[in-house]
Amino acid sequence: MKMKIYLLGLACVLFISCGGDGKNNKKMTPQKSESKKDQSTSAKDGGYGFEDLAEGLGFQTYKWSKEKDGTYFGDPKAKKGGTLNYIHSLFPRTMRIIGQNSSQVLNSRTIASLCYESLLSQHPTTLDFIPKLATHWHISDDKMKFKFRINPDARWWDGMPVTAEDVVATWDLRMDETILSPFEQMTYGKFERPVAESKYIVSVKANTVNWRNFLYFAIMKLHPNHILKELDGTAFLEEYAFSMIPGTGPYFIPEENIKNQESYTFERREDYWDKDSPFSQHMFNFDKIKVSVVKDNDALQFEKFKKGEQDIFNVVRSRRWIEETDFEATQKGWMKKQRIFSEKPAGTSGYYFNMREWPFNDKRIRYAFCYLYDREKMNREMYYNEYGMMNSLYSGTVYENPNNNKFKYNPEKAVQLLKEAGYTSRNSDGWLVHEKTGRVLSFTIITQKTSAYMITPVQQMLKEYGMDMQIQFIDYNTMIKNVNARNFNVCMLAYSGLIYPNPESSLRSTLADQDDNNNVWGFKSDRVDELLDEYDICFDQKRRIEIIQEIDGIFNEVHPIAFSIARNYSRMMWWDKFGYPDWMLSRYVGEYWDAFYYWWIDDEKVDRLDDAMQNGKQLPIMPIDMKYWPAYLLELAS
Amino acid sequence: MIPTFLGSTVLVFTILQMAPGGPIEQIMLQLQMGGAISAEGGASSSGISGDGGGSLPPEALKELERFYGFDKPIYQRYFIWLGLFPREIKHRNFMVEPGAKIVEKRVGKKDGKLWKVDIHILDNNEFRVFEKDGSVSRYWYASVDEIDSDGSLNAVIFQKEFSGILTGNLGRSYTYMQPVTDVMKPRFKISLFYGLTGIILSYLVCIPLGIKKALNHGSMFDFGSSVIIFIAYSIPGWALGGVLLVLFGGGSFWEIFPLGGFRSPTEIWETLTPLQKVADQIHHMILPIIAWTIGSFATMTVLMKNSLLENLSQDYIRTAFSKGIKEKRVIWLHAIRNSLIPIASGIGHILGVVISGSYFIERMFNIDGFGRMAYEAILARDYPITLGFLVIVVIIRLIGNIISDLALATVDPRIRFK
Amino acid sequence: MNESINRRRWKKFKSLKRGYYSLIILLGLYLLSFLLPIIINNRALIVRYDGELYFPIIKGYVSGKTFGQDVPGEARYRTLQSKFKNEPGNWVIMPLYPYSPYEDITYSGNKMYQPPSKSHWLGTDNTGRDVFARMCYAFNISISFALVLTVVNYIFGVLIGGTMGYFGGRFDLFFQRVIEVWSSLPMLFVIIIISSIIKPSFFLLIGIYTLVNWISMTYLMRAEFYREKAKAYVAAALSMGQSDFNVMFKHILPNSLVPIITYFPFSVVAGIAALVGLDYLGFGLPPPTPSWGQMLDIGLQNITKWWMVFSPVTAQFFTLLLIVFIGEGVREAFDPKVYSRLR
Repeated sequence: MKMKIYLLGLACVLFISCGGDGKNNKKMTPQKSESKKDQSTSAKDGGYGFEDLAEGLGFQTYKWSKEKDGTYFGDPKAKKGGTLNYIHSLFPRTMRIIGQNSSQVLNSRTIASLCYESLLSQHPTTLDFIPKLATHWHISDDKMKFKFRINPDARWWDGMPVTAEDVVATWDLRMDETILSPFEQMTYGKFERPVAESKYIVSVKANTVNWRNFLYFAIMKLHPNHILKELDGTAFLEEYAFSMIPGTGPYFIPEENIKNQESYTFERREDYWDKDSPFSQHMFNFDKIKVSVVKDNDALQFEKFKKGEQDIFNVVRSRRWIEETDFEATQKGWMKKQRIFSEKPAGTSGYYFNMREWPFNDKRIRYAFCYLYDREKMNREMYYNEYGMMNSLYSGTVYENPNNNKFKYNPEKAVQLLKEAGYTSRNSDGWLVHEKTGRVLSFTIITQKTSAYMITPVQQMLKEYGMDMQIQFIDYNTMIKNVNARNFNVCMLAYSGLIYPNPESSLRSTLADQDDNNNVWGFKSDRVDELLDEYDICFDQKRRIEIIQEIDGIFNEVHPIAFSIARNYSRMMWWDKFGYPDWMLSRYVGEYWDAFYYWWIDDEKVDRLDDAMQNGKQLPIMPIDMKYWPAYLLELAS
Repeated sequence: MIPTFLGSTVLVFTILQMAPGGPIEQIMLQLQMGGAISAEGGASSSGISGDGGGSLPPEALKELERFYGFDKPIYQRYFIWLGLFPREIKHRNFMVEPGAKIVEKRVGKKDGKLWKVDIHILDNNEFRVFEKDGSVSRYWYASVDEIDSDGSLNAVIFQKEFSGILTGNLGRSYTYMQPVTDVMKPRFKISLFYGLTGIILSYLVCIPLGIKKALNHGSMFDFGSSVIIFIAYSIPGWALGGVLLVLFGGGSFWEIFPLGGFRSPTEIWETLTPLQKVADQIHHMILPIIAWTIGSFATMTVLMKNSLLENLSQDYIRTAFSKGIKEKRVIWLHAIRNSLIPIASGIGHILGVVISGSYFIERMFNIDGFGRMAYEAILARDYPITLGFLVIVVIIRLIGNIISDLALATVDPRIRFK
Repeated sequence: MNESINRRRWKKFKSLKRGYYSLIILLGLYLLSFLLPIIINNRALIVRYDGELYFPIIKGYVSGKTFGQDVPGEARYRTLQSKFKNEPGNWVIMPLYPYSPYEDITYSGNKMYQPPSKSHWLGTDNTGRDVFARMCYAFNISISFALVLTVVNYIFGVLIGGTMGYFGGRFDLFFQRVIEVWSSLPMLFVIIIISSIIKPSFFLLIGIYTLVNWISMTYLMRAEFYREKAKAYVAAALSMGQSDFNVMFKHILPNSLVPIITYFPFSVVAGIAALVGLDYLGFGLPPPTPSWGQMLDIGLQNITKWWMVFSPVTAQFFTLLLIVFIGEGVREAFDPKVYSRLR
């Protein structure tokens, strides 16, 4: 009994101690930015008037023009105001965009893009560099040293000017190992410490020649030096886990808007320093963007969307798209649904073979698998013909090698290949047996339960021809561990695509025999290694495309993967109250979060929608496929 | 009880180390950018840059191991977790040039001002940390990590703290980046809310029902309610929850109840009047509560009935009757009171079971409760939460026992606390 | 044990109609379920082709070419049957319900999410598999699993609990602690860890479950043995020089069988529920094994397709109900108090 009372006391201590956690009440209300202009810095040092000297000093820039850029930086019809509600399935593990746990898609798409800015950004349609915090930039002849001139008008939320020191401080922070994000050190360790040459001019030297270096440095999101200088990595992690370090972006999240595990709301800043520039005046239109969290329950999320608690909805599964999006609101056009095509890279998904081990060390077995894997049938029978077939590591982009073997269901060929590989007869269970070793052609796929419905049909397809694919359900962590320790026969993975392909990490021969990297399949090729070396130092985009296409060809010959299906569009639904540019979603991003940046609330449509819903009126329905970008591409070609 | 507690935590602690994957592996995965769960039609995101795929540099790995405390042997980790060993936190690296005697190091902020300390290097490469006012630092300790070939020292300065369960600290969750207790509190409240409501409801239903069944043993009512009880016993609560959702959650039949959630979302919730709040809460609760209590409903009713029947056949009841005491008085004062004893002794156990939450039901109804938190922590390898959950469950079991004792004492006249 | 007591109990059990008929129905269904491959299957029982008789159900894999079918791999017997209708002399006898629990959209003609109809009695699931066929096969697997699990559990429970009760003292105390510690172990963990190393199979799952479940029986048997040990016949047996082993298993055990038998049906109920739960979470039997838990899981992901939820729940419900009825009957027969108990 005494013990019991002691432990009871312990329990009390536990619960009392939960209550006493003092909250960091430091409020981060942005102040009005100082209108004072800095006249003390000379034009040569990057102050006002630098524009006139820039060309002479070898600096370049990009000027906005109506004919070239049209509505690509937002539509002039856009109006500010209103709230956009979005529901996501996860709450960010931190509000930071640098450091431990910050590399979530959610952080980079919302917080990083809306609240923080980099020296330059990229043109959404041409991928040219365009000014952001820096107005001009300079690349040395050996392509190793870069200079940037920071806009003297750029302001942090607290009104402090952005200076070269901020770039240095951000680089220092990213290189600090105690922020527990080794990715940062791998990326920014490719540079020497940046140098603040004057208040507004910063230069940096890369350690090697690589066409990516400029890109990486130019799009590095900045944090303010006047805050960072008093912090080290550990303190940064702790203080800004759930509060915002000042940024320069058009939105901020007041601390009272962060409700852990529930929601967070962005608020537009009236005093955004860049609000009048042609590159951003028609973007960032919502006064508030609210992201709520519904964990792990897709059905509930959809219900909430239908009830209007969420404005836009991204439909992931075909079945929902085909069978569950036909109700009054969509029939009457109150709710729009469209497939928006873009040049978003489809990524690489499918069955990854482990070529280090039997049976997939044999190319014939890999090919046989691909010939038996009837993806078209699955697309037809299970996915409502919603998808295209993936035939390349770079499906849907210019990097795809057009000569790749486009595997189609072909059992005769498969049987032939299996015979050549020595699997000539079947045992009484119907499994193929090797003619010499007597080994049954049986292997295991490791997967999560949620993917089972995609895999069991493949299992049946292979079974027809005597290949025994056993399924093992394991949890996500175990699966990743097994894949990284190369402890698998075949597994189903989907890697996201990159706008600039980076085959180095998944195809380099030296990585094939190491654990914990992206060369999952154990791919080795001398020619590909050569091409990879050339790719890194090639500054000519045309040649780079050729290189990647050749790599893609070689890869496809070896075929360490059974490609599955590809999707080159977004399936979106939204309540018909938004205005948007003609192209809806941008060319290379093509995902719903573009709506955060480019869409706006159209008051006329809001009234129209209210009226229609009250009186049961019909609103116009648009054709389901939105193909602005495919048409744009055709026009470019002609 | 203490040995049991220690035994089970040691066991779980060891088993956790055997589970594949962990926080460091998850970081490695983030490095291998974009490695994603396969979704239909491929992964959904794409990026402009991305330089993943390299393996983790060894220094980074060391840094991470130190952060998570994995650089210590497992027995030490266990004692640290208990709070018997100091935990090393807030590591900061610094370099000592060969021959240097004093190194100044910035160690964050204190009272809003920069905090710097002086580190004195002793001859045997040991360190002593002094505050700027010359006193030996009460917070900071330093030690050598590595000696470079040129004789300079890679060193680390850190704080020590005793923070384990004995000091009431369960650590910090890997997933939520919050103290474990902060993560648990709201979820615990939700499960407690459901648990208590469920228990009260089932007692309110089961005890009268059991009494009525016993008094009318063999009647049509008894038979009819027995059928319901058999049905209730034969269907797991969470499976019934699924059926209820299909029937009433607007799937294929009627749309009467919400699909899930503890209550309406905050922004709607806040606009409601108190009366509407109650209505909203009840509206959300009905289906989960049915699923939650269905299991105990059957056993408890039968237990009540049997216990009463047993008592009614006892000699003392017959004696009471023969003494001419009124039937009602006999039944209500003597028989029922005594037959509540087994029910009362079960209350603690039920409390424990209910509060630890039912992962199945919480998942089915999208309730962010205690059980679901534990399950997700297991899958996410969130060790602090998993262990914290275990501790709480053990404590609840103890409290449950105590409550059982108390309840027993109130209904059983033979037991009196002195 | 006295024969006449057992006979009396059996008679008593038979007189309890509800339990008795439940036993007959369940036993009948269970035995029948072993014949499922010839009742519910897509493999023909007998094929007569070109004057020759084939028995694919016995032989197993027969390629389609054998019957002049232009399909690679195994013959499609359903198509064969309709084709042979026009060919005199050739015929196919199919099982009563000609769908296998494994064939999905891969088999031409199968569609996903078919509502219940004449050909698919309970519709099809998200990959076009027949729900009725899967439900029936899952019945067999569930019962077998629970039976084997209970037997294995009881063996351990009797061995450990019996020894504890019989020897008592330090041994008993030590094991009590071990059991306490053991029972606090989060079982899901153990299963996740083990299933990440070895692929879960029927017997592996039984093993894992036994690891956790032997405890409840142990307690009971410990008490039984403890009580019986004090009785005169044990002392008599010991004084006659019988070994401890003999005393425990020849003398005490037969006298301690009552709790084993009366608890048995309820343990089976628990075993079935456990398998369903585990399959629901995805840590149960490897796919595509038919199981109620897995069916329930996909059903709940598609809650607009009510048949996918109702079928497994109803099947599970009726099975458990039958077992509970049997359990009630058994208990009444062994313990002639006149009211119901539920464990």
